[in-house]
Amino acid sequence: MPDRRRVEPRLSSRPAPRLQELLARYGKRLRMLVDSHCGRDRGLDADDIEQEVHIKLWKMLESDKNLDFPASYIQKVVATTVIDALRRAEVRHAESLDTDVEPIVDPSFAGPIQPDRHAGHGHWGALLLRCIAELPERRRMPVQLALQGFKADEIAALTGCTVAAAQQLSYRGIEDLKIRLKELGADEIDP
Amino acid sequence: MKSIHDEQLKEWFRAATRGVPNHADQRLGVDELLRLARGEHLGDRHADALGALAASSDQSLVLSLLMQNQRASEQLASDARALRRPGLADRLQAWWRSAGMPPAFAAAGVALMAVLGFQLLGSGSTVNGAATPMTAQSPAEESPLFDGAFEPDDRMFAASLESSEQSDDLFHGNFDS
Repeated sequence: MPDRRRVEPRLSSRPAPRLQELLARYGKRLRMLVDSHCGRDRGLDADDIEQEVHIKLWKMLESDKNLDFPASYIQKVVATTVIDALRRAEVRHAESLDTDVEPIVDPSFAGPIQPDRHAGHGHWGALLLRCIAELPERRRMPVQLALQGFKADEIAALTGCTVAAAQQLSYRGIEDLKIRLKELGADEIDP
Repeated sequence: MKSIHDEQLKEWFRAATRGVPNHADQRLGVDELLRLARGEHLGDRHADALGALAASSDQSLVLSLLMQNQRASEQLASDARALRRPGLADRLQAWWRSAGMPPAFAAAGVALMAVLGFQLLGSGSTVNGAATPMTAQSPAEESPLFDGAFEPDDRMFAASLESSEQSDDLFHGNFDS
């Protein structure tokens, strides 16, 4: 009785170095990207993330020679790796905090606030959230997304408006915020 | 300085929205983040998803990273697929195995094909030799090299060696006298 199981084509070992080269090039770009996002003082190590993604992708490619390897799979690996890194960073961060520090902005947020931020930036953060809540509804979401770091074209893709509209709404909203915060004395702090 | 002030606002906002919201509605799954990164609309969930991004700088960070990484991931997927695509020999081998044929059959098949090939090549060369002359040949016309007809009377030599009235003596002198 012949064995009718699916038999994978045996790939030569020739593509392996080339594949490693592709993964290395991809990892370099990913590291630069994470680096730029780590500028937000997130406690993420771009090298660790690059290494982890590289290993996960390589293992997957090695274990299944017939894997279709779609872009969505690669993106999923990146997403889960970054989310795990953020969780670990949050745990480290939480452990370093005083237990009596509580979130002052919104009780629904589980994320801890740094003590220095609580003392200084935390105050202005709370005021900022209050000012955002006072903005016209149309401007509120573009402003919040812009403050989260999204570019105008990304805001447009997310909200379904044009890039020009996203740019204008977020710009005007942020200008309004500056005026309001200035009225509240924000100009007195060191920018 | 306007740009520094913008960065200051961003820093305050991200610090204020750090972490993941406790409300389930404001938590985005990986699949939702991937769909948003691809530019897809989440339908009824879309408004909540935007609210979740506004409420959490962690979720926004991941989505922003995925959005900016989308093209590189597509490129890597395309390159890796092209690199891992098996060659013709690999595919034939895989097909043979999947068909459940033992390798000995493959070897016998190859040997048989080789023998048939040689035989075909051998017979083909003689046939070809006759069928395809080296130079084109015009139909031969009736142009004999010699026009003359050979009749029974035609002789190369006219002299007769038969005895005749005339004497064949070389010397007519009489040496007897």
